[in-house]
Amino acid sequence: MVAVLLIGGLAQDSAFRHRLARRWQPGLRCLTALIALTFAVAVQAQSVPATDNIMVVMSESTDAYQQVAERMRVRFELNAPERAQFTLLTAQAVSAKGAEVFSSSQLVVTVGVQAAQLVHGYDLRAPVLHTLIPKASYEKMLQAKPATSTQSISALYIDQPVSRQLELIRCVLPQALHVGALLGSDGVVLQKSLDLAAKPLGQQMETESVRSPEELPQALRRVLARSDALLALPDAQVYNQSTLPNILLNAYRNKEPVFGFSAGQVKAGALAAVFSTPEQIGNQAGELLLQAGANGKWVLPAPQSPRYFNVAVNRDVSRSLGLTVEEDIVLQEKLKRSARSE
Amino acid sequence: MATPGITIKIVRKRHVANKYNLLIYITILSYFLDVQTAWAEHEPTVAYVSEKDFFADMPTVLSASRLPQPQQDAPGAVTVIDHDTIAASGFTTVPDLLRLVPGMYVGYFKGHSPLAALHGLSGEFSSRMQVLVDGRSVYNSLIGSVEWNDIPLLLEDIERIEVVRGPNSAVFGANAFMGVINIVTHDPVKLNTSTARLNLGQDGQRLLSGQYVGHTSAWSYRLSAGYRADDGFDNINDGQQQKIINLRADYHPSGRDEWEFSAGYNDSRRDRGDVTSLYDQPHPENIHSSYVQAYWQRILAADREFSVRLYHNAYDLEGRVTTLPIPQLGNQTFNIGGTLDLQRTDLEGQFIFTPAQDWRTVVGVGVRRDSARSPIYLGRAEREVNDKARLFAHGEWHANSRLNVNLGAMLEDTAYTGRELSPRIALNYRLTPDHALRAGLSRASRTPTIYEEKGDYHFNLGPALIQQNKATGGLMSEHITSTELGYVGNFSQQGLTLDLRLYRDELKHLVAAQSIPFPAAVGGFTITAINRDQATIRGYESNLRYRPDSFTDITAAYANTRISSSDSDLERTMPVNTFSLLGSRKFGDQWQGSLGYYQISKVDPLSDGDLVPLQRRLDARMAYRFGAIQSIVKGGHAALVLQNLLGDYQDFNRNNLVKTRAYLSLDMEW
Repeated sequence: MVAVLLIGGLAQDSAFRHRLARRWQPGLRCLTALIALTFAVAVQAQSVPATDNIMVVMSESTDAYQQVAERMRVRFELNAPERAQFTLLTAQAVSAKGAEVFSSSQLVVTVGVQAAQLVHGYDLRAPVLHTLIPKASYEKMLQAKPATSTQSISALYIDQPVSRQLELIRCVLPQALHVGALLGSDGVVLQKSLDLAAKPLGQQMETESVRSPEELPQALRRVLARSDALLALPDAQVYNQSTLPNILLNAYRNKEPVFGFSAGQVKAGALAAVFSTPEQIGNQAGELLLQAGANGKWVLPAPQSPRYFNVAVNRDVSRSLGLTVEEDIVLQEKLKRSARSE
Repeated sequence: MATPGITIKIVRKRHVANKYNLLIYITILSYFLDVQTAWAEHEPTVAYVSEKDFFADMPTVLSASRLPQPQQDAPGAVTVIDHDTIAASGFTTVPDLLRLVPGMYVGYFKGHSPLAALHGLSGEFSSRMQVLVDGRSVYNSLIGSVEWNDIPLLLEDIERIEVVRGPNSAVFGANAFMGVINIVTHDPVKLNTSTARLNLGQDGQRLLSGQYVGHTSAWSYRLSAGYRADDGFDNINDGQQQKIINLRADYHPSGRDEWEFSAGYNDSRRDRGDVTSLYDQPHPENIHSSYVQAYWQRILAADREFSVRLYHNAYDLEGRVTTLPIPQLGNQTFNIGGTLDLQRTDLEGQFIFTPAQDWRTVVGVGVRRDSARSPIYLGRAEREVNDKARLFAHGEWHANSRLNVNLGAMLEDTAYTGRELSPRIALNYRLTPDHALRAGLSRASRTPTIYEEKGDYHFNLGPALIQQNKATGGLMSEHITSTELGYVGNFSQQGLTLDLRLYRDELKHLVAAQSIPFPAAVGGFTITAINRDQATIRGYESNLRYRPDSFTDITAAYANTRISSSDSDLERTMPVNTFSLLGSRKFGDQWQGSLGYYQISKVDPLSDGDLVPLQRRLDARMAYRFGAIQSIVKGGHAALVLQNLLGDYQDFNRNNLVKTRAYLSLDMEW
């Protein structure tokens, strides 16, 4: 028990987790594939499926959530067709029916923050995998209401590791050594991980906190004065539909490129972003489930960041800033390579 | 809107408003509601970042149609003098900075009267360029020239100067005949510190200026004021003093709207006249100039934007002199001189849109009223009005990743010359993303100025009529047809940008001063303006900027310009060779040194100009950056500037001797 706690504690330490992942991931992947294969063969040979019920709760029934759920199911069933039965419900439907809907579920997967919060509130005995959830929100949710010792909870984040975002900045603008960031109320927590990730890349973070909307213009001005590139971090308090135009325009006036965290931001006028699509999250969620259910019961791995991602560059912006930026796909490959070598 | 509840609330508000038929009112107001509630809505959910932030569809802010063109795609050659270059040069006036532009002749008619003329063709008054300060046209509406030292503008307020070499009426409107000088002042939004500067130097050089910067959540403003003075050339009565105050306030209520308000006032006094002259005895000339400007820009949609600019410039000059006793007139003395009152009001609306993919288009309409009242220069007490209207359109077609086509035209309708079309086409072909070739053809016209068309400069000395000028009117516009080939290259690995241009300009109907008989006047002759001359200007220009590392910055410009004209005087108005080289280097965090070398071959400007030989000039600047002093001052610079280290040279005419001089500069930030 002590050992488990110790390992659990170590696993919380992200540096350790990376080391662990580096050492084990390829092996794990092979193992997963092998197990899946054996299992598939076994299923075919014996055709005695141990069918479990997986309940998927989506924040909403809009496209993005459907795509995650659907892709996850397809990916899972590709390797383990009879292993589990997926049931899709919206958070709204779940809250109408209450916790009983989970009575026969061996595993629960949530898609989106709203669904995660709802399910987290139920104290389910079944393991719960939260997908499409920002890391900050997941951590905050557990902080507000830690999981009980018998609960098994994990997550597949929607956001990219900060190191990947900084790596993109390095690939696009090697000369940008000062990277600016606006931090919302959770800034203090982020600050450390930003500094940690920036150091090995030879970058220096220049941050400003924005505790209220009134502080934004001043903070933005200060951060733009000190930085060569601005990194947008997911925080609705800082980056939302009404603030983004001002941020982009001001940064542009300073001839400073903005690196976003979503495709929408790139369309709006950020120079580039690394992000995962719902399909990519769904795909990884499917693989994660295959791995988790490989041994007949559901053992969730530690929370993970997206493994599949895209890079998008706004060519109008790069052209206008006079920057020569490599093709999206080339940048993507570069990031993948450095993600693998981590 | 990320939270549906709020969206509904806003929709409902709008709905209610429509019901009460307050459509216009609410269209304006609802936008502000949007902005305010957008923040409010996030408050309850602040605790949790939502995945929706990752998939939210954002309004396009920086679309192709709004972004300025990179130089590789621009229809003409542009030289940019940025803030770093301004500081490194040690120059204290805009015309001096223009020495860094290939093909620009810069001279000083008097210490207080500099002139800058792209490709020459000029005397004391250079009247064939458009000069804009934050979009506001500042050339003199009476004679078309730029009174550099009367513009309410402090060098410390300038962020950059863009010089478009070649005609560009299609985008910059009237007077963009030989080129455009576009001065952009610091955007207060970007400024963080208030500053003050003190310059003290030889020849009475004094400058004291301050800039106060303030911000609120939606407003950013800059208030700057300065006093500038110098004694001018030795042995010439051409000292000057200038007091300037400027206010610029930018209002950004949202990402969708941008407002810019500015106003400025300049009070200058300069010494004119000469003790040896009978009529032009030493006397002061007092000038007041002011402006107010408002600019509003609204983003209508992803690729549509609308802007309106309205400004008013006012300028008045007063110069009065008492003559010496005139023997031929019974040793009487006379009071001569008078006033000049100029006004310009300009309103322009511009619409940017994307009619089809890979296109971006600007269309606009503008009206302008230039007026002048000057009993002495125009011979009557009434105000002379010159109204102009213009329609312009410019399209950029990004045909593919290599080919970019620029098409544009301006249709101008003026009171003096009727309608004229100034079209332009340019093709840019990218050999690689960093290297582009350009071929361009443009035509522009310059309508006669009020003075050229209506001038009547005379005064009476008792019974004697002195008729300096008498316009006969009916002038045509001057025309230029310019053909050019260009190359713009960016060697990003080496930190080098290079711009080459080969051109041929055909100019027709150039307005020239012609003597005509005028029996009533003393001497029986006067001067009038006629469309007499033609000229062909051929040349090549190169401009490079080399920044191999973050310590070194080198800019160089060379131009070879040859004028052939029906009037041989015009041929000598431009130095055949102009060369400038400015290099600066930082030594550690504290020290920066720079050297500037400027050379122009012999030149003979029109009117009061003389043939002056080759000019060589070497300037040096050494600056020390200091850090915070107590907690009062954030930091600043102390600099020593040495100008013209190679010894005296003649400028514009034989009497103007530029000597070696030095000044010390101290600036501080808060």
